[in-house]
Amino acid sequence: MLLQQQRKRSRIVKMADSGVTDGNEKKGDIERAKNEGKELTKEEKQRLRKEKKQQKKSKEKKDDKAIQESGKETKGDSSAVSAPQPSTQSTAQKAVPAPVSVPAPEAPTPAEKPPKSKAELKAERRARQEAERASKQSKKGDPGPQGAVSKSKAATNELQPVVKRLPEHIQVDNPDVLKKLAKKLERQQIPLRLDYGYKVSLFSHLHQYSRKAPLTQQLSIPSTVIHPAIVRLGLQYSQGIVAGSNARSIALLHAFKQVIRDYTTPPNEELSRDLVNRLKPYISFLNQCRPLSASMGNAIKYVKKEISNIPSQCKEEEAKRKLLFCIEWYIKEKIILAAKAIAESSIEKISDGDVILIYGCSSLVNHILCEALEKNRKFRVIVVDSRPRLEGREALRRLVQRGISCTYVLISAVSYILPEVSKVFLGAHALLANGYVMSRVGTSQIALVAKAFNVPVLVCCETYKFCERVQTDSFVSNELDDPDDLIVTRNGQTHLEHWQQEPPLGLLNLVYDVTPPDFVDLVITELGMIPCTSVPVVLRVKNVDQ
Amino acid sequence: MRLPPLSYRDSRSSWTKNTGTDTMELQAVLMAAGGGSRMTDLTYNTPKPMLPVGNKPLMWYPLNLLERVGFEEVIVITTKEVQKMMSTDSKMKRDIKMKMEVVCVPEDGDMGTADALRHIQQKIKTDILVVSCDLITDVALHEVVDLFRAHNATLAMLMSKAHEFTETVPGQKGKKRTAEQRDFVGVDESGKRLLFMANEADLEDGLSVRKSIIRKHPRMHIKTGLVDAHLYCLKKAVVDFLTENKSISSIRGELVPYLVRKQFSKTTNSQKVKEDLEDQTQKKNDCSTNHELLISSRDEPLLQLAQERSCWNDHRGDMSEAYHGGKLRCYVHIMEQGLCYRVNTLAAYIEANRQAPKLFEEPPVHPSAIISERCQVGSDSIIGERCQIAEKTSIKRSTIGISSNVKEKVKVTNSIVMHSVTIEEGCNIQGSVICSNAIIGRGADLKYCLVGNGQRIEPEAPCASLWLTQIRVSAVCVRVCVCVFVFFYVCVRACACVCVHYIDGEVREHGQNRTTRNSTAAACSHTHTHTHTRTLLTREHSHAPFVLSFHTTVAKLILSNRFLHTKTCLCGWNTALCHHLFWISTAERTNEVIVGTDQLMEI
Repeated sequence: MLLQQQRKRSRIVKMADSGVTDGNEKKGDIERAKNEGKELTKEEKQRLRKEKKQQKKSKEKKDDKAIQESGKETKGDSSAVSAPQPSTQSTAQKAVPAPVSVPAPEAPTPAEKPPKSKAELKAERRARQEAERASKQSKKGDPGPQGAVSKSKAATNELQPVVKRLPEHIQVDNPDVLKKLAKKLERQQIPLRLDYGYKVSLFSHLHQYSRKAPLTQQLSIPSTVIHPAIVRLGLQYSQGIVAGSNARSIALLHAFKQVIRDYTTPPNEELSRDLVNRLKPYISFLNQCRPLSASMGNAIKYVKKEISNIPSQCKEEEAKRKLLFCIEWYIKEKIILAAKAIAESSIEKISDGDVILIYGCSSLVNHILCEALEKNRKFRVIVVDSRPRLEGREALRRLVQRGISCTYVLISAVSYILPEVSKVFLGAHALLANGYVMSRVGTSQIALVAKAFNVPVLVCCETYKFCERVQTDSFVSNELDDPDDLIVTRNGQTHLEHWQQEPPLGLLNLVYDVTPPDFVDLVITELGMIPCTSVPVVLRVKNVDQ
Repeated sequence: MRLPPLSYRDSRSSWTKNTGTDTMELQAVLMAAGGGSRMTDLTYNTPKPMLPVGNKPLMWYPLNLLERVGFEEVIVITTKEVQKMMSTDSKMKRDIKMKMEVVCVPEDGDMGTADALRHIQQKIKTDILVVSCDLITDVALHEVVDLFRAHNATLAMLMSKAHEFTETVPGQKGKKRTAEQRDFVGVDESGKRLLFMANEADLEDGLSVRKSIIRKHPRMHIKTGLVDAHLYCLKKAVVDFLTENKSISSIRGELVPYLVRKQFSKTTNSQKVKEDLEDQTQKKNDCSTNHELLISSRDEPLLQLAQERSCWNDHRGDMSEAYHGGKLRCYVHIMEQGLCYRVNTLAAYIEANRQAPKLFEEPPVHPSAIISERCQVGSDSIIGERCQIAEKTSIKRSTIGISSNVKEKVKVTNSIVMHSVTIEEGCNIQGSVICSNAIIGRGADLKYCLVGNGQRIEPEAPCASLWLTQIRVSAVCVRVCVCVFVFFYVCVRACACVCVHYIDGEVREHGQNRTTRNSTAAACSHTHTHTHTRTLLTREHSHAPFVLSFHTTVAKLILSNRFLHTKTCLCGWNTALCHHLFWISTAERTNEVIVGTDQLMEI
């Protein structure tokens, strides 16, 4: 015990200049990387920058916690502040901006490690974990001022305060965030969609809605708060009539066009400000109907930027015309022409006699295959499908209608069918900054199996779907679809009809998964064929452009 | 089943107001000009929209439905008469806060619902929601409107499972309901898309479905036993089409079937092809006829693109795209449960009165009603304002209208008493409908009767002449007469001795074992007619010389006032009465077999 005390004291001393050591360590990291002889590519630099950001974030968190702890417990527990440093450094590579429970810091640095028995170490660890848990609970128990104060303190402690909020839609299990969201929606006069059903553990932080309880039942019928076009769009999103990130983006922009057309600036207001404010509740309404896709996020960002770029002396008609033109341009350039360009470059990859495997229904992949057929390529397509949506059928219909010879299998048969496949073409929902591909759930499995069979995996994706988010697993940020979709009625029998009454049973209808870049050989974009890891470069170039 | 509370309807910062444009999402149109041809007995004096249901005018219910979901204004199409009544009805003004724009249509003209829409075409700026004034429902309206919105439909309508009316309806004979012609409604697998619609009346030999429907929707569910609630969401293009095409006069009868049919016709679907092939001829056609419905919206190519990219399809099993490329789409929401009545028959009217209290939260007994403590008022009864209920009265499952006066020892069960009705002492009213301003005399016993507007059932001055007060009972589509109340006031010379007998006659007609308990009151008359009556009666009722039994065979006949005035007819009782009965029945053209005249003849 005595030893322990001593050790802690020494740490407290260390903590005083932890900021300095931290910086040093980071520098060291970069230097090490440089010294390793590998030339730092731009992406890598980008990645490093990202990592740093994350580090800071996680550190901030821990600081936060630690300070609270110190408020409650004895000083000794504040050792948690310095302890995490090395561990975050090592885990940063994989680190996710996880909203909850960063595992309790363990393994003190070897330098400090005094000769201790394993049992002692264990006991210490346990004590610390317990303390942490207690502090966490207390934190949950009393939110508000204390937390805020500590947060601000933490921010001042930091060299560079990086305030990056976690999106609300992945913190559903946090009552504070939920309350905040409800408040915000109330201010915007948007109803809050109620969560539905029991959620499988690990996914309790995500929204789960029922299709049977649409948002419109809480809205007045000639919708006054929200533009009718937006209401229609929201319904189409939530019912799945408009599905797929391209379709969703186009429909969104179409609705925005109608909104802008019907818009008149109220007196004493400036168009560039008022219109953006007008769009905000619409966007949160759409977000309530179905979480926004990355592509939609980018489209919204673009529209907002264009609106705010409009000079204040610009006449309203002129400004509206300009905006409509911009939206038209975006659709044409980023979606239609991009698809054309991608089709052109990917046709090069399709050679006669190819057997191409596709999964689900990607509008872009369908487009590519149809273009390839027109270019008289001789190939065969295997459509892999999965429950519950069975979008593959729609892809199959479109391809067969064009006269492409197809085979239809379910995802369970993918390893059987892969030996005859020569290429795998996949669509993407979004491409993340760390090179991970976010796509319809099941994609990662197909990529994995394809890798095992040594079949090249090509992901087709327009650059407007590139996203600055970083994600390494499918848990943190995902979407839960209506669990009732999993219920099947066969021969007049519905087995899972009363699933809600079975407490041990949970239904999980996951929408997306992420595929690590290791399984993806190539990403085909309108800018050309790039490796997954080049996403940050593209993003940066885009940022410079804009 | 109540609607969830609308938390965001009273929004001040509505985008329409802010922007100053008149682009609304939906305009509401209330059709309140119908005459109520299937319940003429009730609507004889009160126009259908103003008939009291649960002490509120019938048109309050659709208006309330619209207001509840958030409509702020409504166009009411009605007659001058109703408009006048509405403007005087202060209660209604208080209840309905919506802005009402009343448009009058000529009363006598055969103006159909589609004609009425054409009439107000100038006022229609956007898509419309048409509601009939006789709809009482607790439907979650967003279900219908969401179909309209989500699928960009041309028509979305509401239907409900038909209700069986369990209550005995005054004057109804047997199972008359089967006489109504059934609708056949074809829906797709999701049960939402309306594919087919036909009425039994239009079918000559069997149900024939066009090949184009079967080709596109091989699995069609044809449903019967549905009631059309007459609630339609229509695109503005439909109204424009109506103005071009003047041959359509009714929404339900012509327009809806037309739209449903048109979903699968070639002209609307293959417009593109046509344009390519015969661009010029098409244009010429457009100019000359222009009877085609043009469904298009702004930015059509963009929408098309979004649909193309979307991996959704409304059907599977064939090679065509979503909606089969059609632009005209009709949808229907079928209510499986909940309240949905169309008050267009007497039976529905009675049923609606029973159910209506469930729709509003007001206390069943109006605070301004004066109810004595020693009377029984069931919790399932509604007492209107300024009512007076005297002692020892029992009211069960009934509605008592505004300013009605119920005297002592009256028993009212299962009945509807409209406004300003006076019920004298000792009456027993069961299963009846008593229209406004009627006066029910002392000791009357009404069972399953319908008392017309302003009728008096009254014991007149004692020792006076014979009084026949007519009560009209109606059944569905058939006017049937009722019981004739004969109040004979016995007055043997100076001695005034009143005796009233009730005899319940049992009627067997056409082999149907149906008993109507019509009460016949009989009494003696003035000495002048007395002798005649007496001779007449003695044949059958020799033991009761002063009792006249009609055996209630007079049912199914209508005794017109003409008959009532001719007191003399009673002198030559058997021949004259029968003559009159015959004459009247043929004159009224009820096409009903007169039952029991032979029995009368016997008398």
